[in-house]
Amino acid sequence: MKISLDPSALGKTKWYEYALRFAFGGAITVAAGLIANKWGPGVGGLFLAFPAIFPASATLIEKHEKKNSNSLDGTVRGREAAGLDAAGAAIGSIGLIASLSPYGAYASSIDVAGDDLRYARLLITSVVIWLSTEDARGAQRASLPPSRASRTVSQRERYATMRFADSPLCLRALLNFSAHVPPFPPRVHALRPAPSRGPSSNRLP
Amino acid sequence: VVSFFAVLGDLLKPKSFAGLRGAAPSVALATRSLTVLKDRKAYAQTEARSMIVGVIPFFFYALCVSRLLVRHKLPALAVTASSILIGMAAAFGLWCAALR
Repeated sequence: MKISLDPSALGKTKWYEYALRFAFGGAITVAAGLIANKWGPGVGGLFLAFPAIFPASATLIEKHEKKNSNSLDGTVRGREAAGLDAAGAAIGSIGLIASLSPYGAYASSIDVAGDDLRYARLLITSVVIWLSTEDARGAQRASLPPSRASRTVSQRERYATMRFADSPLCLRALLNFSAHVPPFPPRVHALRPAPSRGPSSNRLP
Repeated sequence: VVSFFAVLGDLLKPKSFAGLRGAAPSVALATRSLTVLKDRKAYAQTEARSMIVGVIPFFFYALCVSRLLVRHKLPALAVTASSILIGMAAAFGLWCAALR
């Protein structure tokens, strides 16, 4: 999948949306500082790892993608986009562990100048994992039959809805079919006693 | 710094790639250099260890949020807000078990 930069997205974001993220991030920063002062760096570090802008970003992505969608299922599109953002964040968290591990192990490796190296490590690890997952998904898509592979999420949903909408038709077909099937299997018939006939009916004329 | 990361997320496509920066702790990025300059290295090391412990529940939190949004199509605000409490509780439990 091609990575691209879309500058037009800047114009779509309102000023108050940036302000909301700024306020949210600032509030978390202050809270983390206060917690670290009160209970020490051990507890403070837990809150530093908290990705302050993640919930606000997910909500805003959902809203933007819903607006951008031309189809009726804009809500679904928005939620899926926010879900993909969350999947990316999960990959990024693995990169974060990789970048922090040397700092956690050796105090001597901690340096202000070394911060650039740490973020480079975070970025490289995350991008490598992301590319490998994209490769795996691409291979999975290639192994599917062309009709299924080319079907988008919304198309799949429409297909599922169509199948669901056809269910009365299926029910009617099932009832029609069952009308031609004997009500009991032959074995059950064999176990039943034969219907009694009058003695005269057995005689030949 | 927080706003920069937010803008970066808006600009990048596809969204799964833009999400990579979602895990970047912009709060830590903003305060990290200050912590090292102001406090001791041992302080920063303890903080880094706690951050690692804090990231593990976040990984599961992000996976859980992703699944709920993509598969079950639940509202993003409800999912992120309710799951974060679970994530925080898990982080605190893990810290008590591993680092306390």
